[in-house]
Amino acid sequence: MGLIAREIEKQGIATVAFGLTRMYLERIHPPRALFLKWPFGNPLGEPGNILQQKTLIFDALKLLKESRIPGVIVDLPYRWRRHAYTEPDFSQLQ
Amino acid sequence: MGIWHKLDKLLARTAGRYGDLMRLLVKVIPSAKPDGSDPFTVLSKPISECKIALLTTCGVHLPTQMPFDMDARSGDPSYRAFTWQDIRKAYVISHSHINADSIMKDINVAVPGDRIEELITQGVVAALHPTVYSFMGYIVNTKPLVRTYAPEVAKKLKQDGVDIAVITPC
Repeated sequence: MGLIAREIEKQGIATVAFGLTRMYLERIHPPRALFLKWPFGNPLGEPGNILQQKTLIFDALKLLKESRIPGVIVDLPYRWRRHAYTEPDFSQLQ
Repeated sequence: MGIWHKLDKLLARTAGRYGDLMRLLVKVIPSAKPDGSDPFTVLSKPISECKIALLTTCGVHLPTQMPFDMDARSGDPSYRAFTWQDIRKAYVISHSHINADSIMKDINVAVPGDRIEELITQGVVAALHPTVYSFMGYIVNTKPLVRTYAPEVAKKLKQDGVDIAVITPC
């Protein structure tokens, strides 16, 4: 995943990669990454949890907008099945 | 299939299902900026004008496409391309090392096309690239991925005017 992101970034396309193994992210150096300590097989959370998916997409777009240096890994604070999600404010991205 | 191949598959499957073991195994991955570079592209336009592509390494593909080769000793670095409109109708996952239950219940867990389409309607982003690219995360020998397959996908995304790529793992 990180290796693919690096190749895409070389083409001048901004990437954001989710990661479920922080040490892997640290070793492969994707240009931008969001780390979630969640079970494998659930990159964007639980099935049907739309607010959760929206929140993660918001976090990804926010990182894309704000990052200015390569190799940033953001540790997202969400705990598996123990976080109450609210509607993200996408107007912050404009 | 040799004993080492069987052990390798068992280890990969077990690690894929038990995250802490996988996190332990990652310690053996060589520390790397694999080619010494630090590729980075600053987003040059507002997000509301950006075209987004979705990629995953969860081994998702259309039922009619060739499954990923889970028996390959060095993993399978190839990819499958399909449209978002097709994959939301029917899909399979041939990455046998992961627990695919969540993704089989909701494709958006790996390929969040519905969420991006909602954002287009709201004017948050401009467009969703119709093609989704899917890899399978079990790749022991990464050279073919880095030298051939990933650059090939990257060039296609560039040709198609993609501004942002969102990549999900498994």
